[in-house]
Amino acid sequence: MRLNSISKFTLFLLVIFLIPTFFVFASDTDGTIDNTNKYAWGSKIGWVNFGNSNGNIHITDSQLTGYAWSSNYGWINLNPSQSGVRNNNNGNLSGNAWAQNLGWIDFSNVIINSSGQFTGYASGTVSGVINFDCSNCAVSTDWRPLSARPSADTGAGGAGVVSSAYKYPAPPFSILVNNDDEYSVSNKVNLKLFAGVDVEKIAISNYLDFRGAIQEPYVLNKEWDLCTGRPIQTECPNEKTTYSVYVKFYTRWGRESEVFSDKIIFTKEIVKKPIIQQITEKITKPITKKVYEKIPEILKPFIPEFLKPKPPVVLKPIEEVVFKIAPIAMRGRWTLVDPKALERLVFAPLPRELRALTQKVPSLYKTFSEVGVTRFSELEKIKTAKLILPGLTQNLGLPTVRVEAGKIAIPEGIPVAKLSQDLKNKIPTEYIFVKTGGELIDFNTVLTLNEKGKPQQKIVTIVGKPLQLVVKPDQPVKSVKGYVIFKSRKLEPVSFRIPFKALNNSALFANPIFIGPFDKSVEVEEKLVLMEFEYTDPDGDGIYTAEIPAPLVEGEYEIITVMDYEDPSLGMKEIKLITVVDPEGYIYEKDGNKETRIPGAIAYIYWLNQETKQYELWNASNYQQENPQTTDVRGVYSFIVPEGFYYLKVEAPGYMSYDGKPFEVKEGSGVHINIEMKTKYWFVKVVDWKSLLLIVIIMMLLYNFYRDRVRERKLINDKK
Amino acid sequence: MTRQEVLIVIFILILIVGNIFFGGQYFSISNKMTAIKRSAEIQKTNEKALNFGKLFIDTVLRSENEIGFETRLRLENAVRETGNKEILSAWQKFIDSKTEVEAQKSVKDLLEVLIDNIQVD
Repeated sequence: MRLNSISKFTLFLLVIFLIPTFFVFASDTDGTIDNTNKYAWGSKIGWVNFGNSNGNIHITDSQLTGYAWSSNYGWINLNPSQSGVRNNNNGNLSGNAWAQNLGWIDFSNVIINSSGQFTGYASGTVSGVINFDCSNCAVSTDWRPLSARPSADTGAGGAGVVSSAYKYPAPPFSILVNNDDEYSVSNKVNLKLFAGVDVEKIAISNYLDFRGAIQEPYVLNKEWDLCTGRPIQTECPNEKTTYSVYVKFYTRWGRESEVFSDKIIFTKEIVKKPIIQQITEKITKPITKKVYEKIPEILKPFIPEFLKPKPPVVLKPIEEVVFKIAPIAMRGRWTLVDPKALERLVFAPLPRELRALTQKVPSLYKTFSEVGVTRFSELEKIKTAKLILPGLTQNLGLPTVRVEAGKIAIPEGIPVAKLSQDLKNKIPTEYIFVKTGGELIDFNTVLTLNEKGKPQQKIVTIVGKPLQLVVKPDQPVKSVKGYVIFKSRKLEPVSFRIPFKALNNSALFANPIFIGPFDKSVEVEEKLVLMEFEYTDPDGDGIYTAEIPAPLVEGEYEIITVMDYEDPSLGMKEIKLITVVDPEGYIYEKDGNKETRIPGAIAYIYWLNQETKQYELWNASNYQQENPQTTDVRGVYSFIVPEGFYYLKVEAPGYMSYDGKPFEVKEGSGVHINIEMKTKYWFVKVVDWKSLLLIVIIMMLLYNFYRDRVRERKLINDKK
Repeated sequence: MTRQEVLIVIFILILIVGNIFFGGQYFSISNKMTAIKRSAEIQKTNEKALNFGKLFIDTVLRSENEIGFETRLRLENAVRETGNKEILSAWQKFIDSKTEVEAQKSVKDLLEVLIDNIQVD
């Protein structure tokens, strides 16, 4: 009785310690993916199935093997030859998986937690982020991190059983009967059994339930009788009967694999096709195929080159190119680029001309300082900004609004001749200021960089309007000449653009524009010069001025000012000013798709008096212009006005009066909006006399029909 | 010619004119489509070349240590994405460099090829 109690207690202990070891954590050292929780979600590639039956994913303490399946991109190999997803036995994964269509996928951010749940994300350049624990996805396994397992491995409760005892035999597995032939003429067949390295035993049977089978040592080849174990009363082998052979593989610890099988049909005689038929097949099949295949080849010479598909770039598999060991050029031993040159690229100062400009224009210096543009590489910060350089009056810090007794007048500039000597001394040298309207309107210039990274000034004016140019050389000059050069008809939008190529060429040091010597040579192509003029300094104050009319054709021009210094060592210096000439505005009437210019229209411009908050007729006579303007046969008009708020009004006989919406002029620039006028008798145009006549005839015909009908009815009634 | 025949002729003429009109429209739209596709293609190529260029400068030119396996994989994937034979060839030349001078030259060539293959405007 006592012995029985001890036996029961021993049995109890065995149940307590061994059952969890074998059943609950049966595969915690060599896990597979759960049948339900097997999908991860890739932001770019969609669902990824880690539990596909053909993928055969296994998770062990050291690595992940097998394939995940992406329906969009195919198989993802978790254990490619050049890398592979590794496990540090506590579920912290590392390394890369490989997919033919996705490249490498990094698993270093994936962790398998103590519940066997995959957490975190894998990522790749092409695949994007693959999430394992998003709201609708989950991947879990029966593998458990070492720290989360019961003490079987450590020997505390497993009675000294090693961890490999719980491992299932590793694939691949297969069985081939007679080398996978379809028929066998004998019941004695040859079995080829393929299995992984840890397989030590096998069990073979002619039945799926392995009745009568025994475990025997594993061999690669084995003779087998298809009738073994079959009842004697059953005829075996039976003609044209399909026989299956089943096999299971075992590790030395008795862990078994799934059941694998192969089939073969028993026949007493293998029916061979007649030799003639075989030969005919051999002859006809290739010929038919070859003729079909030859069609593209025959047509190939007739296909023009541009229609032929470009041959794809054939690349070696990435794992054959990127090795664990870095190529010598990437081991950090060599200096690939001169560090000084690299430093120069990053810390190179602003281009010489731009630096000079910041010294001449205080507001530009302030802008660059505040934005943090002190180096060449930092010009990127302002590449999309539109930088406006102030006109002469504003540059000298003079008020642009004239204050008179009790009222504020319209903003205006100050003619150079009226400046005091002190202010004249303050004018920046070697900088072109442009004025118009009797020097009362300052043009604000837009700063741009040319293709070589040099700064350029740009102004916008209107055809034929006078331009007063002002320049102060920094040294005594023999003469100052100007040239107007035609650049293009195309009007480009004004913006601050740094050509990408210019910056990158600097990176190559192939064209080090920012360290190159200052080019003193001045070349003006005579054939492009539209006008040549000379600056004068009648009062001898060192400030040279010139007045020229803007070209009469719209387009982009360049005004080049060439200063010929008295000091021969200084030679000549040029300043370029891009001048965009806009067309004049015109007043027109629309007739279908055509525009008819209206002569004799009167265009008024009104400005907003800031003091009275009322719009008043702009006093153009102060600015050497007319207001209102009467259009000629071309129907054109234009105003160049100082900054402020304005609106246009147009009147023309036979047309409705046009009152435009107010607009703001931010810089001294032209007002040249094309204005459409509406005729007072617009309905006359909608219905012309022919249409009217047609309508009248139709009405009369209809009336005639009506009268006929009435007459007919009357006759019928009378007859009755 | 019977009235029915006249109607059939008119109907056929309308169909022919319609075909010519829609054919013209199709041709015009397909031309525009080709231009847009080309422009989009250029933009994609530029973006890929720029990505690789940036990665190359950041991880190789500015690095003083050995370039890690993961980084090299990223570089290889980025250069393959450009799908440009010239860039791939210049990159391969850099990888295969055996001497410091050769590596310096191939870096310069690679950057030059990258810039040449970026179409501005």
